[in-house]
Amino acid sequence: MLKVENITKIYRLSKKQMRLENTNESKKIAANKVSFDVKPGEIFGLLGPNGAGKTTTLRCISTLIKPDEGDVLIGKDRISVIRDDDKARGSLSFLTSELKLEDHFTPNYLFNFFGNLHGLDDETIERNKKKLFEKFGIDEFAEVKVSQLSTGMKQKASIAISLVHDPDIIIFDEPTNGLDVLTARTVTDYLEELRNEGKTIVVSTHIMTLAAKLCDRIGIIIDGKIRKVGSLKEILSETETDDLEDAFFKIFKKAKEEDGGVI
Amino acid sequence: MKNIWTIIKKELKRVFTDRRVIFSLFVLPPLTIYLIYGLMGMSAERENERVEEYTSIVYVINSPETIDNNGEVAPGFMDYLVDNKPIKTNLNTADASELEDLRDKLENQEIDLIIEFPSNFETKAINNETLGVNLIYNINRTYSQNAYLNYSSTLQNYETEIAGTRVDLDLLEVFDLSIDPVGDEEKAKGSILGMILPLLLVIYLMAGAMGIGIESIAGEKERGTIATLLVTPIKRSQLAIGKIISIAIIAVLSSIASFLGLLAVLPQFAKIGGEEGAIETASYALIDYGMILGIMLTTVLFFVALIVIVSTYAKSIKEAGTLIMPLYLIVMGAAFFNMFTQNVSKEFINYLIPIYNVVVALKAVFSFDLSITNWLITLGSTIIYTVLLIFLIQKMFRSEKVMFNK
Ligand SMILES: Nc1ncnc2c1ncn2[C@@H]1O[C@H](COP(=O)(O)OP(=O)(O)OP(=O)(O)O)[C@@H](O)[C@H]1O
Ligand SMILES: [Mg+2]
Repeated sequence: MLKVENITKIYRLSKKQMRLENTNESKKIAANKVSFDVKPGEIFGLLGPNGAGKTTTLRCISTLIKPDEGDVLIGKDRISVIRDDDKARGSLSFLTSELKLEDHFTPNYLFNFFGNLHGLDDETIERNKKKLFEKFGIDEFAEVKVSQLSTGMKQKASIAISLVHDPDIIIFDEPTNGLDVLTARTVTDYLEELRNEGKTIVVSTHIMTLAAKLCDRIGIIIDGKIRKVGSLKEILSETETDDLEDAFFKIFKKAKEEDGGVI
Repeated sequence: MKNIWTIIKKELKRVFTDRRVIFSLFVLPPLTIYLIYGLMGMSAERENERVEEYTSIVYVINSPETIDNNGEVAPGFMDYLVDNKPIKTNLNTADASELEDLRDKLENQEIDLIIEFPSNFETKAINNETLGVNLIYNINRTYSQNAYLNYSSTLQNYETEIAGTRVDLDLLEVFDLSIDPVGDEEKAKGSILGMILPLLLVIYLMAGAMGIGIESIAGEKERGTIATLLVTPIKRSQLAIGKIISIAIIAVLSSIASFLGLLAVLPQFAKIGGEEGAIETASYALIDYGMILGIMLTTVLFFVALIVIVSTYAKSIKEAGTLIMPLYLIVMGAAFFNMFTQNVSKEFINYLIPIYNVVVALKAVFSFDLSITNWLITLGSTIIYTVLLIFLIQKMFRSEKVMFNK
């Protein structure tokens, strides 16, 4: 169970950032009262264009940054990710292509290393390793240094290692970013498998087809605000469209009108 | 605790399985030291040869004549020297009235040594008086020092000749050799080792910690690998401590390697300091080594903490390198400044100034001049500064602005 309540994140921009972003505002509201729920056995998709606030929201959920307002509760015990972050990290996993593995080590070593940091005993580590390495075909390159792996191999190793502690909640920023169709397919298939095991999963993406295909429910985020939440079917019927891309454009246009901006 | 150990193990593995890193941390520094100081030793040897070639100008005042005490004969000093000159010498006698003149000449480095016997030496010698013999030399002049060293042992030999003429044979002690060094005394205090070692030690400690400190934090930030650690249940403070300890271990090992390089070259190196240098290295007591070790260990932790702060603040290896340069220069500056101020400081305030206190204290140890109080002040203040820095580091590790400031 994952409950996101009114998450607001404001970045204070330095002079240099203001120049780069071409703005006079010294503050950037990257997430604006973002709320949604995800149930166990469900994949929730955060769909939005570049700069919409997807990564920011997911980082708040996974304790990497602290929101200025709002709360995130996880699990049956409703642990607050904000107040009890060390504990929360034990039952969630954050995956993204930005999280890199150290070049100098092998996937095998890193799997054990992260397992230790999660406080797992050797037996559990070995059991989870066997399962995950087999799933992603990592055994072939388990003893090769990360620096010598291809992008896809690195991504596979990174996913396996992030799941070392068999977390209940999985947060995945842009799961297919930079992967070829085959590897991307392995990843999305595995996410579906995890969903069927009863995991709570949140992914972000700007790819309509991926959201439509993979996600049980979708939240459309534009300029830091959630504009619509629902299953694909619900979104299509509410926007009176028959394809997610059309629905997205309708919602996007309406959002810009509401915010008083120009497209 | 277990998490900290896990981090340390990983950091050490990274360093000790990378041949390039091993070379640059543990092989290259001692090798360069060996080569540089080996060359210095060679030039010192050449200098020694020059000293041997030189003809010293020596003046003897009230030079003793032949002593004949009822058949027990001792030769006059000049006669004795005919066969027993220790070094090439242009030997002169002078009258007591010329002493002031000669001292001036000594100061102006025109002559090298004055040996002053008391007047009526011969009668006093027979009457068993202890005779004050004064050796006047210029401590700022190598030739003069060399002449003094050689003639003082010659005088000791001459003493036994005179002792034979005495009525009371038990009174073997004839001379009371006193020295009267001319010149700037401060300048000569402390051996060359005492001057250079603190400088080298401090610089090695810093250099050893720098490379690995930058790599281990700014490097991980740049490559995005630290974020992977930040989503595990490890506490930020544990991560910070683990990093600090592992960097400290590597820095200490690296400076020990450099130190071994220095030891290997020390025999040659001692030649620069002449015999005095050799004497001093031989006679450091256990307590001195303990003091040095204590200072080294606290210093390395302090430096590591400084470096970790810079490395944590920086977004990339390049930025960390740029930011750390001023720090490195300050350390070098403190070390060099101290090397060229000759006197050993006693004021306790000097033992409180961060970085500078370490250099002052190391210098004092090498000159046998560090009091336990000042040692404790140095250790205590350095430890307090380090603890403060570690608090700051933990705060930085918890700050998303610092950890995610790409
Ligand atoms: N550390 C930061 N400091 C200042 N502004 C930031 C920072 N991180 C993100 N932003 C800004 O906040 C907004 C939301 O960024 P975010 O990365 O969450 O978007 P996103 O939806 O993940 O976009 P993308 O699809 O490009 O990954 C953007 O305008 C971005 O420029
Ligand atoms: Mg993003």
